[in-house]
Amino acid sequence: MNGQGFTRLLIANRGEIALRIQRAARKLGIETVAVHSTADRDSQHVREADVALCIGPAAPAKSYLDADAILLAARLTGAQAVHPGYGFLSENADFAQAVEQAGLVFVGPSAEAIRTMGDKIAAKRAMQAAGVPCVPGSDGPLPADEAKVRALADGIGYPVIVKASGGGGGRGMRVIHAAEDLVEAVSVTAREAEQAFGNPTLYLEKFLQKPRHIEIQVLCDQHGTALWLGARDCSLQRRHQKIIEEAPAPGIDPAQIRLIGEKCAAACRAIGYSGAGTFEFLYEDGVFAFIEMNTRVQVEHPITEETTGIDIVAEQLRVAQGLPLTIAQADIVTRGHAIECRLNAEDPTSFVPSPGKVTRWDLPGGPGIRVDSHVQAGYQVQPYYDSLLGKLIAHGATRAEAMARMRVALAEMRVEGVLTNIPLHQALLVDEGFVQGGVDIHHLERWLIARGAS
Amino acid sequence: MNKADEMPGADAIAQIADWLAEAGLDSIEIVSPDGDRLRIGVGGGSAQGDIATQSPAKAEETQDTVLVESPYFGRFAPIDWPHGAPVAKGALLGMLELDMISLPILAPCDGHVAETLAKPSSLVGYGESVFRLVPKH
Repeated sequence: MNGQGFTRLLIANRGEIALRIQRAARKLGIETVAVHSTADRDSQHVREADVALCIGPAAPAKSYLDADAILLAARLTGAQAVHPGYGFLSENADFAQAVEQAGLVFVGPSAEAIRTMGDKIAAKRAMQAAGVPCVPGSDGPLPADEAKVRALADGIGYPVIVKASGGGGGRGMRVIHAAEDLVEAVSVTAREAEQAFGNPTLYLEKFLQKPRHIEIQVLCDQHGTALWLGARDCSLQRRHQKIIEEAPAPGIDPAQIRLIGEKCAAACRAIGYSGAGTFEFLYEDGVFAFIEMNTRVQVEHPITEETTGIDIVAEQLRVAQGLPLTIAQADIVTRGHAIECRLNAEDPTSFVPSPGKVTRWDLPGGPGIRVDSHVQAGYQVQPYYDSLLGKLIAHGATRAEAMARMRVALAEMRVEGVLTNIPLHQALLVDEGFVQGGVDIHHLERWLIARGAS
Repeated sequence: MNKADEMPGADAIAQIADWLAEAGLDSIEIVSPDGDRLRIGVGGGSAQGDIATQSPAKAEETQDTVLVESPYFGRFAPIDWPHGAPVAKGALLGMLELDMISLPILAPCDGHVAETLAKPSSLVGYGESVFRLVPKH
């Protein structure tokens, strides 16, 4: 990011986040360029873009992941900045660097910051240096010497989890419960990491048995201001994919969140971070432990927008234009409670994706209800991409009110033509554990097993 | 390999067409080392200006036609084929200009260009129909 102002932005993404970015850009008077695949020709953000350009076929590798094509399209269309959204190239340091080298603005942190945070060992070291609490572990790459690895694991205490330094998002990791399984598990994970990420480097951490997933949203400008915008609880997950998120995290003392938030903001200042970002933590028995940082806007950003009143995507763009943040930390307060349900086109029982034509799309409404979606009646859900149809967000003065509004919204929503996970959300919104709040990251998997058994 | 290095660009082709017309020749075929063929033809001395304004004949619209899709994205630089001029499979129909790169748009079959569907210098996307060809039966 070089701090230049820009008036035309290329959106290097698709679906709901492309539309979300476009809305923020239009609010700021920035023109948008929609680059898209043949499968997304009829998307809303493509229709409403100032310039739309099909850059390749449906296969992501030949369109949304084709960095060269995106850079050529930026030059051809006169775009001065690139917003990568989430997924695809959003956390690809080489892409960010190529954008910078092309003289364009990458809406996100510097390539160097992305690279540091993408290497989990380097990220953990940077966080430890900034005073952010981390999961006890090897604090560096695992040595080749088996005896040393055994000694490390014994020191941490079983169960331990071996993770790939180049991994993340639940990929490239293995849990080890007993010392006799250690050496083989390390060897298999190294081979997998080499194949998946081109980097066999591993590290070891204490495996927490029943943690919650708590994350802190940060927003930083290029002038040394780093803010934290509160916490989100994203513990309701299936196979590391978040299903329902909420803000703030229920049952955790706001004073403790503030301490962690301040450390995250300090870490951002220490590494010269700019843009939006998220520090992800495991939280167990009152202790926070950093796991990774996401150097992009996240799917669940709207719940923080609802509780703080801050337009995170618009602020991302302003920051990328080199403007200073006009908000002070003291101005940021958490108002009420917000919940987000991710709406997927999938079988609510088997989770098999359900591509096809959406023949009916009736949206809910009323106070505190927001829908972030690119779908309209007649929309064709493509089999080439993730099955996210959009996000249903409910805000209320209290958690109970937000949940009540979400239940009504889910009941109002009508989708036909494809299967959706709305029935799953409806069931979870009356689940005793979730209603009580504070479930751990394994709750949904246990709930699904119990549902299957019944 | 950049085929634009092997084949003349749109401006050069227009110049060659003028030379052919002046010399009273019907066509010329250029073959690149890797086998790409470029056939430039001028039919019956028709003025190039006619092509842009002339609507395709009705008979052509009722015939089977082939839509030629853009193989990539870029600024569209079509060749002004004289109306009805025959084009061979693999003939250069136009170029896509991208920054420092030019990519050829080639005829997928023998026939003639019935219609140019995109405006010269306009931005065309991958897979967009840019020519309508009447295939030779």
